[in-house]
Amino acid sequence: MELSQLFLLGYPLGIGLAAIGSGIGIGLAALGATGAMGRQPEVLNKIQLAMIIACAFAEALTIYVFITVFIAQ
Amino acid sequence: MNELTHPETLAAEIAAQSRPQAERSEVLVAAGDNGDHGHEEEAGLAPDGDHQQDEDAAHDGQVAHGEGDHMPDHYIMPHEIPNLATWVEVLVKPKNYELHDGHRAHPSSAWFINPIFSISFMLLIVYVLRKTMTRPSVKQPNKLQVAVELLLGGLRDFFLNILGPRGEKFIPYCMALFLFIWINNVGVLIPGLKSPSSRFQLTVGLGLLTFFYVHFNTIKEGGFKNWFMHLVGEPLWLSWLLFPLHVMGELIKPVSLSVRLFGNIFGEDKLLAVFLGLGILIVAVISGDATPPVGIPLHLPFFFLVLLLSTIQAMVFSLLAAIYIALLLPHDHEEEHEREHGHA
Repeated sequence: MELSQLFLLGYPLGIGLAAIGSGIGIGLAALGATGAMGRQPEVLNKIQLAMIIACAFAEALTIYVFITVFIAQ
Repeated sequence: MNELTHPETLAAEIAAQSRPQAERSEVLVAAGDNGDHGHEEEAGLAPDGDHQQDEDAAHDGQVAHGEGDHMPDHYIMPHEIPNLATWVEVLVKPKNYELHDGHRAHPSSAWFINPIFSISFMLLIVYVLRKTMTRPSVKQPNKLQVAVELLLGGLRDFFLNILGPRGEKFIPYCMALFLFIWINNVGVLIPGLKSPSSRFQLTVGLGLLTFFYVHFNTIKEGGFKNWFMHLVGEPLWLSWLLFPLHVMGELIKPVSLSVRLFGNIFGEDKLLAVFLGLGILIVAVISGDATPPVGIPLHLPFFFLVLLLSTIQAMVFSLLAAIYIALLLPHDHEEEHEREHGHA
């Protein structure tokens, strides 16, 4: 009883912790990308591309946790 | 985990919790417990297993969240947006729609029906649109044709940018990947349908397809020896260390591709389902009726989010496929030459 309820508490907590990390990662990527865009607007497309890829990689970590939680349930 | 939560003990716990007219918050925890033992309640309209008699199931098609002759004493959040297959499933009541230990056994014998139906329906829409609305002509293009050509031309330039002139023959694959995934991602926006890419089967299929496509074409382009030497790595004396790493790196690519797509689209569907249930829950709390006929459409703002994320995910998948192709293409001086050209 207590253990299953602890798990119920732990799953969303784990997703939240992973989301904090992913949020920091995506924020750093966007920070760098916007700074670079401001300096060199002429290569905006390439910077945007690299930023989206980096964001996808950072976001994937949360997704992995999300899936792990759903599998573990 | 599975040893910890036996179905019997959990069923007893849930029954003990929900018998006395408990407060809603407590009952919601019990409802969360409900899916805790691998039963995978697929149907969003899953009725309460404790109270549900077998013959009641026939009535469930009329109300969005399971109600027999007697009112259930609490409300269960839907696990999935009600769609055509879940309605049909409840109405038709397939063979293994029966109870054991007071719980409904795996409710969805039709887990594959809705993705297949959705894919077929949306491809039918695409086919009909293509047949009826477009009269492609070179001399007098209408507005739609110009718009579509602009879109596809932009997409083609986008992939050409990544793949380079050497990989021009791989552009159709990437564009087809993008369009197919996009169409599959936005399926949830059509009432009664479901995004097929929120099922693992489709995304794993796409990931494996990309994996085999990339490696087959690498071998075909550069020969078996080049492909193998690419895996072995650059300093030969370190190859005992690098070879397993490279092989694992290649094998993890389809896994990461498919899990990313699946997780995103699955998460979107869950988000919509949760907010849909929240809108109904608010009306239920205010009106005191456990199963109100209408709810507040709280999930409507998230349609825009779904549209945005669907496009981004389709782009990321096809982009990464293009990058994997570009990485494995036999690179020679052409690339450096192009880079110098770009600088000048």
